Order: sequence, then structure tokens, then C-alpha cells
Amino acid sequence: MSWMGGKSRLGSAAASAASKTHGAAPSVISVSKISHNSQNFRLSNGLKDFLWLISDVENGRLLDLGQVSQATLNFFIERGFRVTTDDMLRSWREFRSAEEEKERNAPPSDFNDPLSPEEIAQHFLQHSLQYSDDEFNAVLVWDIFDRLDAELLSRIANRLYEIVRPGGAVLALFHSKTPERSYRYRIVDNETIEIVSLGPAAAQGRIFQNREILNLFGRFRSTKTFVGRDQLREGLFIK
Amino acid sequence: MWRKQPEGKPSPATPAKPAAWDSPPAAKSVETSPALSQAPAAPSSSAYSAPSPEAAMLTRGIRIRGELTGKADLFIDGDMEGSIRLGDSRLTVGPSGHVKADIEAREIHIRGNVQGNLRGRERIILGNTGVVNGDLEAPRIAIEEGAQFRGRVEMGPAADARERQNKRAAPATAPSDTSSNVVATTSVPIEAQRGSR
Repeated sequence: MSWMGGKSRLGSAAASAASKTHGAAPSVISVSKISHNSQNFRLSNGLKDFLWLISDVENGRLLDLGQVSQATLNFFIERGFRVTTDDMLRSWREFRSAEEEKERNAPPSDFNDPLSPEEIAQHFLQHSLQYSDDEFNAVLVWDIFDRLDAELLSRIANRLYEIVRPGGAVLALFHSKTPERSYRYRIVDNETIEIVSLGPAAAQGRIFQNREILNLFGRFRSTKTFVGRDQLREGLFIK
Repeated sequence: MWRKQPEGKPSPATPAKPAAWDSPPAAKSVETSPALSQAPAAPSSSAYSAPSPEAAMLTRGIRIRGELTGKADLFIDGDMEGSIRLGDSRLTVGPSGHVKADIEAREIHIRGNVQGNLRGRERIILGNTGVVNGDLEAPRIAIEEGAQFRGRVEMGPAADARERQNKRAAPATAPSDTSSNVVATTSVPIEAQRGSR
């Protein structure tokens, strides 16, 4: 694991965070241990650093782009955060279905060419992720980048950069081998994520190389990635 | 501010049984009172979020547009568009309910589809079949597995403090033990349709 970038004070702060979290955990974070026997529970260095980076934030704002989870909500609300949940994959699927329905019902016309994937992505983002610039201290992206259409990826990464405050952090997960199932994630404690299988994946996921991840989040000042034994890569991006 | 986490996995709220909501309302009650009628006695197995027997009921197949205010519990399994303010009472949106409204009530239980902001004076429960697009604000919020939600959440001390402030500013109306005082103030005529879904 290494910090890539580190152009700012935050870079060194984060590096310090990394060293601290991998030595003695900072006292501000209480680590409660649970049974990790289950395969579903994953010790997460990315989560540890993510939480350390936002641990001093007062009245913070967090955006969760995954499916709503009571555990994750409670976790952050107990720490004084205001949480916004925006299930991005569901929104995208619903948008695509609505667009396809519109196309099916449109009267045949030589002048009505179907929208290109880029145009559809652009339309989607006119209605989605409509938050103010610098609105959030932290964003949980989970693995949605593995599941979204290619046309959306850089647009969403750029939008995330805009809505995160300077110094804010984004935590994302990337599968290093093609996942056959869909998952949802929830935070169990300061270093543990529970991975809940939702059944067979509706569409084949994407596999990112590390370089692609760095390019995608290139606007962020600092990027750190971790790969676990389960081949799940965690990316921590700091604005 | 980083407080110690309680040990162990947080347990989700006990799921209610959606089947309890699926039984169609008695036709007679709809005929005698097209928009709002008395809810049938709730099965004891779904006490978690079942409407009280005294709750007024907007049944499946009924569509209403306008402003709903009142002091009695209300169960909506039909379509409602406008705004809902129930003060000290409980609102339940059943699995067939479609509500497009901002909602204020003491307790709000959602098992259907709601588009609008929800403000619960005590708590909001989003059931496993619930879909909400809007913001949630309540001292306590429970979200079951399978619920779909998109919006902001404010709960705990902040929502509590705001509620206390509101109570000081405008004392709450005393809760009523009658069940017939939900008022539908409509900006357009109430449209009652027998369900054919």
C-alpha cells in the first residue's frame, strides 16, 4: 500500500493516519471487536483510514451511494453526521428502464434517432447527484463503479469531486475478479464491513486495473488503494 | 465526539408481515364512506406496524388529492397526493399505498411507496416493502432490510431538539380517542374509484 499523490497537507495527514491506524489505533476511534468468523465480515483498512480522516469533523455530512442500511446510518448518525442516501445503481436502472419504455412508446419517425449512451448518461446526471458543491465531508461509493455503464464513470467521478469538500474523503470498493453476485455493504464497526450477497449479478461487472482507478479519480489530491486477500480492492480518495 | 460503538452486529427491526396488509378492505365500509373508513381489526401477529383498529382507512382503489389533517390514526393503502399532517397520530402507508405528499405525524410507518419528506415526532419505520424518495426526520428511524430509500436522514438528538423547540412554540393538540376526526381538505374534488388493480 502506498499513497499516490500526497500533494497536500492532507496527503501527509493521511499518511500519518495510515501509520497510526496500522500501529496503535488513534484514541478517538474506539474499536469494538466482533466475531469475524463469517466470510461476510471483512476487516477493512480503507474504512479505518476513511473514518480516521473524518473523525474530527463536527456536524459532518455523509453521502452513501449504496443501498440504505440501518447499521451504516446509525453508525454515522451516532457520530454526529447527517447522512444522505442515494442508491445510485437503483436510480440508474430505473432511469434506463424509463428511457427504454419511452423509446418503445415513441411514434416511429425518421427524425427520432435513439439517444446515444453518452447522451443517456448526460441526461441521467442532469437529475442525479444534484447536490451543492462542497456539500459532503465523506462519500461511501461501495462497488457501484464496477456496475455502472462505462459512459457514466468519469462523469460520476468528476461530480463526486465537486460535491466533496476540500479535505473530504471518498471510499470505494473495486472487485479484482469478476463478481458473480451482487452485494450490499454495511458498516459493522470502525474496521469491519459486512458484505451481504443479494443473489446472482444482473449484469457482468467491470474489473478495474489499479491504473484505471487512479486515472478515474485523478482530480483528487491523494489516492490510496488496498487489496485484501479476498481480491477486493479498496480505494480511498481525498480532495 | 467519536463514541464507542456498542459491541456486536446491530439488529434490524423486527420485520412485519406484509401479508397482514394484503387482505382487501370490506366493500361495505368503502360504499358507506368512500374516502375514509374504519380499518379492520389488525391481526395480532403484525402488531409491529399494523394500524390500530380505530384507525381511519383510505383503502386500495381510493384516490384522494388535497390536504389531510386530523387527530386520528390513519392507514393509507390507496393513492394520495397533497400533504398529510396528523399531529399526535400515527400514519401507516400499506404495501399498496402510493403517496405523493409531505407527511407530518407522531409515528410514520411506510410499507408502500412514498414520494415526499417525512417528519415523525417520535419515529419513522421504513418496512421491507417500503420505498421512499424524500427526506426523513425523526428522533428514531428504523429501516428494515429490503427497504428502498433515497434522501437525507436526520435522526437522534438533532431531530429531538427541533421537535422540543416546535412543541414549545406551538403546544401540541391533545390526542383524541375518537377515530372519526381525520379531515380531508381537498383543493380538488375527492375522487373515489373502486379498485380494479
